[in-house]
Amino acid sequence: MTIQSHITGGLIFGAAFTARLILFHFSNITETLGSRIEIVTPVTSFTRLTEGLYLFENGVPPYDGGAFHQAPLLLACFQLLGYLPVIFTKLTFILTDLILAYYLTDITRMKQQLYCHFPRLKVELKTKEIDPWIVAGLYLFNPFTIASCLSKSTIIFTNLSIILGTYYSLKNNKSYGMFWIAMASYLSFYPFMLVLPTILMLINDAESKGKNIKSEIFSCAGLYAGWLSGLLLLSYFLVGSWDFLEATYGVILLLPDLTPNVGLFWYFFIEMFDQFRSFFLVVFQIHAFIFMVPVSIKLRNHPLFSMFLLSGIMAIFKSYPSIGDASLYLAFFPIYSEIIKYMRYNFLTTNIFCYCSILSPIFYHLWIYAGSGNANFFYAITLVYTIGNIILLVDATYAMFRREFDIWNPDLRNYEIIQK
Amino acid sequence: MAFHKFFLIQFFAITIIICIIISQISFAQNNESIIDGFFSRGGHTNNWAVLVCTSRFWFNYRHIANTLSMYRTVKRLGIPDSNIILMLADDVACNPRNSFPATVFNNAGRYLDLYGDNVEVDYRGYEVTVENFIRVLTGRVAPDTPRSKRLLSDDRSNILVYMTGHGGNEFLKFQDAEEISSFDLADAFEQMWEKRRYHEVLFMIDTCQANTMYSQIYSPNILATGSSKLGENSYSHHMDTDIGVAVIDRFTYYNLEFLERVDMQSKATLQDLFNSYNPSFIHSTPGVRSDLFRRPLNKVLVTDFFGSVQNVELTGQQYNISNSDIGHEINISDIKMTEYHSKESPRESEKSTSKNFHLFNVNSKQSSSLPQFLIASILFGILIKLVSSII
Repeated sequence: MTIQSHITGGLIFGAAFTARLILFHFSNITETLGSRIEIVTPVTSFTRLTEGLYLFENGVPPYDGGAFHQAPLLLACFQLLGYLPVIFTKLTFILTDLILAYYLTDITRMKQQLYCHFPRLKVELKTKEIDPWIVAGLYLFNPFTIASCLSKSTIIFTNLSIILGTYYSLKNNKSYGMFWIAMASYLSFYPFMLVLPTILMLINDAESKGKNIKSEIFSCAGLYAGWLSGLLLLSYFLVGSWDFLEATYGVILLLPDLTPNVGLFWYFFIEMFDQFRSFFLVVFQIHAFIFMVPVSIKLRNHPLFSMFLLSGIMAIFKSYPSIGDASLYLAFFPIYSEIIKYMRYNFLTTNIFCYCSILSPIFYHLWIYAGSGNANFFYAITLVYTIGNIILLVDATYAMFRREFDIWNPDLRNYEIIQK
Repeated sequence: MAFHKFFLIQFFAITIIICIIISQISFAQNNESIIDGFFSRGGHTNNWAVLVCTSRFWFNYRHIANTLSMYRTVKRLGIPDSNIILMLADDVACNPRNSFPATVFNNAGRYLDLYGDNVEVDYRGYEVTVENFIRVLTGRVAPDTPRSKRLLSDDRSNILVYMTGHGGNEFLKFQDAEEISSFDLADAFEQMWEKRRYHEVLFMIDTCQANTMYSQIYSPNILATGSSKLGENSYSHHMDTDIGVAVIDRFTYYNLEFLERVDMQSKATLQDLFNSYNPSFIHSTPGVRSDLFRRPLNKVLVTDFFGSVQNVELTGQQYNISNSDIGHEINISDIKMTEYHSKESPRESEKSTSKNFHLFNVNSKQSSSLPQFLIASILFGILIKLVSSII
C-alpha cells in the first residue's frame, strides 16, 4: 500500500463523509428521500422505526401497532442513540457507510491476494489490478448508496453485517464470520442464503490445513444456529414476548403489507385471489431461495463471486427490495473488475439503470399524485429495473465463467463455446 | 484453565440475568390473571326484557298498566330501550274513553304517569300476535324487521319475559281472537336454548290460572313465576273511579311494591321477592318454578333480571398507567371513599394521575429492562470473542 493510494483513500473517504454530512444538513432530505418507495420499504423505513421506538419508550408493545416491522435490536440501538443529540444518528449512518467501504477495501485486498497465484490473461499482465480504494469509492459515490444512506434506511445495517461476515470468513475467523451472517439474517431474513458461500469461504483452506471438512461444516452451522438463537433470545428479553417473530419474519415471508416498491411481489399479490395466495407466496419465496444451492455448488471455487451473485439475486427477488440492496451487490461487482472486459451488455445495463432511476419517480408521481397514470406505469419501470439487474448478473456470470475457461485453457482462447 | 473458568463465570452470570428477567415477566402475568378474574364472574353480560300485554279493549286498561309499570321498572333499573321489546295490544292512552288523555296510570292516586315522553312501544295494536311473539323470541323474523323489533340476545343474555292478559288452563289469549298454549311457549324457549339465545330467563305471567302456562317448559336455565294456580283467578287490585276501570292487577301490584324499593345497587335476591308474595294479599296462590334453574334463588340478584347492572370493582391499589408513575403507588384508601361521589375529588385525582390513558397493561417493565439488556448484550459480545479465540 503506497502513500499515494493512502492519499487516494483518504480523499475518497473524506469527500464521501463531507458530501453526506452536507446533504444531511439540507433540512428535508431524510423526509423527502425517506418517503420515496424505491429507497425505503415497510421493513426498512426510518419513520416506522421512530414510530416503533416511540411506542417502545412509552411502554406499549412496539409490534402491536402493525407499522413497525424491524428487528428489536435496532430498537435498542436507536433508543441508546436517542439519548444523544440528533447529529449522532446521522453520524451513525455516515460512519456505517464508511466502515462498510473500508471493509470493502480489505475484502478487495484479500481477494487479490487469493487470486494472485491464478494464471492471468496477457492483457491483464500489462494493467494493474483495481485499487481497493477505487472499489470503496465506487461504492461510496454510487447514487443508490448515497440515497439509501440519506434516507436513513436500515438496510445499511444488513449490508454492513454481510460485508463484515464476508470479511471475517475470508480471514478464516469462523466465529465472527458466522456471527455477522447470523446478524444479517436476523435483521432481514434473506441473507440466510449467504450462509453457504460463507461456509465455503471458511472451508477453503481446510483441505490444505488437513482439517476434517465435515466437522468444519458442522461447527460453522452450529455456530450460525447458536448466534442466531442468541440474537433471538436477546430480542425476546428486550421486548418481553415472542410476537416480534410474527411481526418481522412473518411480514417478510407472508407479505401482509403491499406497499409498492421496486420488487415483483406487491403487484402480483394485490390482484391475487385469497385461495391462491399461499401457493404463490410459497412459489415466490422458494424462487428467491432456490438459487442458493446451485450457485454455491457451481461457484464453489469462487465463493466471493457467489456472494456477489446471491446478493444480486437477493436484491431482485426479495419480498421488499430497495435500491439499498442493489447498492450492496454493486459494491461487490468492482472487486471482480477483470471480468468487465468479457461482459457484453455494459451499455445496455448502464442505460437501464439511468432510465429507471429517472422514470420511476416520474411514473410514481403520475400514478399517485397526478392521477393520470396507473400502477402499471410504475410496475413496468420496476420490471425494467429488474431486467437491468438480471442482465447485469447473468452477464457477469457469463463473463466469470468465460474468463475462467480462458485462463485455464489458453489454447481455446478465441473459440466460441457451443453446446451440442 | 483460567480461560475456561472465566467462561464458566460468565455463563452463570447470563443464567442469573435470564432468571431475573423471567421473574419480572411472570410478575406482570400475575397482575393480568387478577384482572381477568373480574370479567369472568357472574354469567350474563347483557340484559333483555320482553314485556307483552295481550289484551285489547278499554276494560283491559289494567293489563296495559301492568306492562307499562314493568317497563318503567326495568328502564329505571338500567335496561335501555334498545334491549326492551314492549308489546302493547291496545293504546288506552289515546282511547276516546280516557278521561286523562295521553296518560296511563297504575294507581288511583294518579301519582305517576306511565305513558310519559320516554316510552318506546315496539309492537303495537294488531302487531301483537302469537306469531309475532314467537318470532321475536326465536329470532326468526322477516328480513325487513327493524332492529327495535328484534330480540338480539346472545348466549350471555339474561331475559325477563313478562306476559299479562287473559288466560286459562295452559293457554293465554291474544287479542281476543287467538291463543298461545303452554306447549308453544315451551317449544319457543327450547328453540331459544338450541340457538343459544339466552343465558337465563325469568318468565313472569300475570293472568288467571297463570302457573299452568309454565308447566310445560323443558329448557334449562328458566325460572318461572305465575300469579295463580290451576283453577284460581287472578284479581285486579283496585279501580280508579275517574278512569272508570281497574288500573292494576294484584300480583303485579305486590311485585311493584317490592321492586320500587330496589335500585341498581340493591343486593335483594329473587328469594326475597318470592318470599314477599303473600297469597292472602294477592288473593291467589302465586307459584315459582325453579327446577330448571341452575343457581340457588337466594344467590340470584333481582337486578340480574330486572335491571342491567355492570360489574365494577375497585382495586385496592392505584394502577400505574404511565412511566411517570414508576415506584409511585398511592392507595385508593388515601383518597377518601366517601368524598368520591362529590364533584371535587374526581377532578383532583384526575390531575394527580397522568394524562396518558392506556387501555391495557402498561407497566414500566419495558424501559427498565434496558440496563439488563445492555449487560446481556455485552456478555454476548464477550462470548463471541471467547468462542472465536477457542475455535
